[in-house]
Amino acid sequence: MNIDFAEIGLAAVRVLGIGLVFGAGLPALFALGMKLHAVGADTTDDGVVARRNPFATVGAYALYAVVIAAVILGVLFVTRHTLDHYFGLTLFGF
Amino acid sequence: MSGELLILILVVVTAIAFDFTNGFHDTGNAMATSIATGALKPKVAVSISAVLNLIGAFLSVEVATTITRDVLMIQTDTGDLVAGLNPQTAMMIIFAGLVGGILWNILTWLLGLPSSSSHALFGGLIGAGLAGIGFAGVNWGGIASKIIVPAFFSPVIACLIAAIGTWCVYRLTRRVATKRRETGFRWGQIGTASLVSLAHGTGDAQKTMGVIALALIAHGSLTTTSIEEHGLPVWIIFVCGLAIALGTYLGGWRIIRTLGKGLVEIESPQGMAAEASSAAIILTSSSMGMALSTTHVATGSILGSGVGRPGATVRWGVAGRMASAWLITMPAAGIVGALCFFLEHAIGGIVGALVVFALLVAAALYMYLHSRRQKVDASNVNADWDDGTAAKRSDSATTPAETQLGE
Repeated sequence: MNIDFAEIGLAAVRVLGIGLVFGAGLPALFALGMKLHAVGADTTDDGVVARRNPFATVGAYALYAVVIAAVILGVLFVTRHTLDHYFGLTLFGF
Repeated sequence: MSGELLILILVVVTAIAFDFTNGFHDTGNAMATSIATGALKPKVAVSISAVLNLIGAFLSVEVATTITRDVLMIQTDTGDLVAGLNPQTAMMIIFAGLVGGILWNILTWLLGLPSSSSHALFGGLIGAGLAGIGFAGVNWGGIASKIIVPAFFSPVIACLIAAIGTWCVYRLTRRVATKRRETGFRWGQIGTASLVSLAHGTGDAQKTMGVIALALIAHGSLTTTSIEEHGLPVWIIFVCGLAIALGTYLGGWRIIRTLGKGLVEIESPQGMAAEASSAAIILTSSSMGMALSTTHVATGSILGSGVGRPGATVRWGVAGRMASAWLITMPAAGIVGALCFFLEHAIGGIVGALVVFALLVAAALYMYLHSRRQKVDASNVNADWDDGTAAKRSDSATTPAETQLGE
């Protein structure tokens, strides 16, 4: 029985790292987008009516777009072998 | 029809049945939080999840190859069966293992426990392998590095990531009007829950594909080399995808209830953070060929979302009950798998396999009928969770199904 603990540890760290970027980072970006969206629209929870801010709204949509793009890229990356196998698409250069 | 072919067909049918139980057992992993917060109507949620599971099944095969290599050692490096093992015995082992996995899955569903379908499957296979070949028939190194160790670190990583995600999300949106926040995060939830469904298809449907492939290898009609070069035969992918999708559509309402209402009271921002963490971890690890349990990851994430949200209460008692179910899943399914193999072997040949199959059907039917006595379905899946009643009832020796609903 040969168990390569170094390799397992490395795999765990990789999952943790990628998980933090995609699993916690993307929700945070989404939340930031929502905050800007709210700032851009008008009100906040404490009832203060701010001025409408179009830049904030644009920023919000940009952040949403980043989140969606990251998700699509992530899924394409996971499925790269299948895409290559069935459709001959090599999206990531390998 | 030759005896070997008959057994092969029996194995494939049983594998598909396992895949089906895998589907309804795990619907909750993806959809429990969306159903609990009302982001999706229960029926809509299971339909979306079913379709995405089917699509997911086609996306990747890394995990399936892991299953053919890293659990049982029935083939040598050259692709032949190991010495002293004939195709029939090899298929009987796989069959007994599947029966162990199915029975454990249905039992835990009856109890409303989100245990790991993958561990039930591996446990069954290991038990049957030990009974059939002995210590050398099991790939201990592969199991330890690809299954056991990940089983311990994955819920912890999931919990950590979900807690950080939840904390960030609440921190960033604390000044946003509550109504706007709920609506926004419901969309986020639908998106992330869909991703988890997709990830479940790529991860879990593949486990059954791997088992069917293993049976075909044992029968001699497929080799690992051909899988590596040409991928799995398309019919396997299609049938497995379909079975898991059907199971998902049926919805394991008992487990959805435990996950959505039992662990923590979930708000949409939490739900989104939990699902995002699950999706990221499952997709990452399945592309690395690690056979992670979707259930462990999803449960860890939901717990984490409770830890990360300021002021939330986590029902650690429910979490503890789940964790103990996780620990006994592999040994319990293994014992059933081993017993099934001994029974098959004692009766011998096709008759032995048919008897075990009949027992499986009878036991599954019995547990299903038992579940009807205290039904959990789309209509009452979100009823309030009552800890006090649940505890009191379980003391007075009522059936587990009754304590589960706790009304």
